[in-house]
Amino acid sequence: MHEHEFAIPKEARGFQGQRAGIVTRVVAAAIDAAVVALVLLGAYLGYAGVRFLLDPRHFSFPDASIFRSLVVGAALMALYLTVAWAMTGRTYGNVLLGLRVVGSRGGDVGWLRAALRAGFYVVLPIGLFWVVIDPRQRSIQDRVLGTAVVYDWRPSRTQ
Amino acid sequence: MTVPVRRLPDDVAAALTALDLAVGAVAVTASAAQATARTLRLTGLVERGARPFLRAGRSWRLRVVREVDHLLPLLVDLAVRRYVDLDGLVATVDLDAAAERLDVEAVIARVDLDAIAARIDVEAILDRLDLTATVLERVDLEAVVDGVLARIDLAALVEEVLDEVDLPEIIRESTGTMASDTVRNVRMQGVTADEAVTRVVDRLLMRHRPAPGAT
Repeated sequence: MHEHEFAIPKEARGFQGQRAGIVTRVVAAAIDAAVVALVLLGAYLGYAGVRFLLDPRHFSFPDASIFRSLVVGAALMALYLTVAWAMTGRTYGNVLLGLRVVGSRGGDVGWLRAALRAGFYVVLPIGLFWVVIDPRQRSIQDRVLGTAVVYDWRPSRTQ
Repeated sequence: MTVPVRRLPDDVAAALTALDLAVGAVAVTASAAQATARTLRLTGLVERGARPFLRAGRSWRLRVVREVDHLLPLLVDLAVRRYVDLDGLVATVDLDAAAERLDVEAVIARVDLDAIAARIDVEAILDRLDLTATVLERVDLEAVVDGVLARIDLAALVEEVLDEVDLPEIIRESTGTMASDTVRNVRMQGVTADEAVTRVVDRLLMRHRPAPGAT
């Protein structure tokens, strides 16, 4: 796990590959949630803009019920997390915080596990806080699916 | 056109009259002598008798002609100065008409204009001219600029400059450094916070962690 150390500052090399703690993981999750929220907002504004262009005289902002927004947001979140974890092991929040999702032996999580993990997190986000109690910094999702989150400051996946 | 000649003085007129008389007498005498000689068939005799006279006469004539050759220019000069009103004479000349007959082109063709131009002090002339004001007043600057711009391929020029500058690389370097500094700080703070939380929780749960680095 220590190749490409030239891209990593000296003081950070010691903990590359170690299990990440609750703070970085919560911050990364919050960033991902913000990303999804921004995408949702952009989609909503784009939809409203198209409606305005098609019929400017009778324009009103489309109804955005809380329930529908949550359902669409959850689906979008699950899709985003699945694709990000399966392809690079890291979401945008992970990249910023220098984290990577890996299998229990350090390999890729794969599409199936990534999809299950994403759905699990969307349904039960509170499971993330098991990291605080777990002696090996695993969330409930990590324990069930045999995954882990490690520090990995390398700019991209190298395998 | 009459040349104004001063009237001859009286004494000269008298001298001329005397000269006329003398020449006339000589001419009459000569023709009389010629007639006599022809009548009396004395030609041969006269010829022979006249030879010394002819010889002496010729030598005298030659001397006189020589002297006159020497004196005549002086005399003419004196005479012109004395009797001819040159200013008046010139005043009667129609110089304009003369100038019209002059072939100026031919004259110019004979003049070495290059040599004359070489003698002109161009610097001094330029010093006397306010060229800036002249250009600003007389030159259609817009037309000049348009013409220059039409001759320059601005697009190619801009492309060349951009090629030299490599703006994207500069932006990438500066923002990249900035961004990576920020990201590094955030990551370090996250790691420090993680460790702090883990330490606190371990202490609360009375958990002993063998060594940092265990996964």
